[in-house]
Amino acid sequence: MDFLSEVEKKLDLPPAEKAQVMRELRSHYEELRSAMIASGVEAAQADQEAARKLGDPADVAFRLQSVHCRATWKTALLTALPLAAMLIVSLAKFPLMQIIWGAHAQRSAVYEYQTYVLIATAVLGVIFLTGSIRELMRNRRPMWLATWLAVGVRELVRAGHRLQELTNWIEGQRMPQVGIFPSVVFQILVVGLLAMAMFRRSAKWFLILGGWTLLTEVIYIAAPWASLNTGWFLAFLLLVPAPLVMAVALGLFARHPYGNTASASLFLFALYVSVSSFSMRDSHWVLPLANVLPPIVIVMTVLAYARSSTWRRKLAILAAGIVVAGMADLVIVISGYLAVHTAFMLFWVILVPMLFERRWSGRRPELAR
Amino acid sequence: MSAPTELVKGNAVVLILSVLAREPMHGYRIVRELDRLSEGYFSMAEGTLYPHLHQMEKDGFIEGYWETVSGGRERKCYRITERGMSELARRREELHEFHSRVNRVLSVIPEAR
Repeated sequence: MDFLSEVEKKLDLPPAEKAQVMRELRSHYEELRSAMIASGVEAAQADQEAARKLGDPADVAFRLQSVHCRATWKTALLTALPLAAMLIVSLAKFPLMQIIWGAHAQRSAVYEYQTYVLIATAVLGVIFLTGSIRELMRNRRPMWLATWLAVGVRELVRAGHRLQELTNWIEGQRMPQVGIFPSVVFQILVVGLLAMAMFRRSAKWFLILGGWTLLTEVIYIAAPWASLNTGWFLAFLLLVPAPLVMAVALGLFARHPYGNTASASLFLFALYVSVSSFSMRDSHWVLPLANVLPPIVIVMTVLAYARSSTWRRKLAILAAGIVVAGMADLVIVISGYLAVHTAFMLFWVILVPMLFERRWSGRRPELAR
Repeated sequence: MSAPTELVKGNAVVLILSVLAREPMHGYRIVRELDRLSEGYFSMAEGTLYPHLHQMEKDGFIEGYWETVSGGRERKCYRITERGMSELARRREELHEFHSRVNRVLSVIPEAR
């Protein structure tokens, strides 16, 4: 395959933008080739030499892709797909079932609800994680990988929690919080080991992340969970393992030669977006709204992210999405946790990756490599 | 002898702006001019020029336009903007400062015997 067709094959841009880029590259290629033929080089050799002078087509295509970061509608829809799937599951779950069965659900209804959520989340998790692992094994970083991986991991983790909750319900226990600790401890160990693997070349960061993993495990095993209220419980669940998750995100996307910081932000965004289910109350109109409005904002945010044409705009869109989804959440269900969650998202999803980019890579965060 | 790739990459913006500050040019000619002015020192994989040009266009340092030349061949030319001129002045100043400091540090190294 020649230089131009290989670049064309690898560029995933809207047709008009792609045509302009290819037109310019073709013009350079032809001028290079004509100059060589004019200097006495044979046509076939001129073709080879022109391609050699233009460089590695994969590298050129990747750099062009980084600058022209506006995705095609196909890629944009693929990127938003996991979050849209979450929205569909959300549409069909607890609020609607509660409306059907009345505010105080019977034990069998709760059992069916739990089973439904378990199966739905497990299926979503397997689908999106399988797709992501395939790309990771090929060492590629397409835009959609960030949301697929985040939602795949997140839904499988939720399926694990649901399985334990379901077991608790069957055994007649009403409070499922304590039941999730063994799986949380295991998950943190996995995330911690992954984070350490990502930063294995830096002894300092390897040790810091190892220490943090150990500390997190100790906190989860030894903390007096029974005496904590739900707010503190959720805050612990969110904040303590966050540095480990950040290390994995940066290692997978920001530090990868074919990745970038905005993709790390998108990954964290898809991982941390609120699903609202923590703050539901027994009001028939609030529950469906709380489950639908913020996820719609989230899906629209991801579509806008994919279709925007600069990395700076992409980060601004993510920040706007976090604020709007957070406000939608807060208007529907007044909750201190949601306010903390929105502030955390803004800091952790937008600011920290940008600071990382500036501090460790010495690049302007909005610039492609 | 050619410059290390990382050095060229790191200074690509200022090099391209310097060439375009003289007159508008298309990509092929920018490469040739850089090659000529630096006597072959700043050679690069020519395809990698375009990501730089497109990023600079997005940043508003240069603007591109298509022109048709003899033989009906089309090419995209770039001209430097006001913003590009001030960016060039800023970066040139920065580079001068950097070089003078490096030279000052290097000058204290004793001559090899």
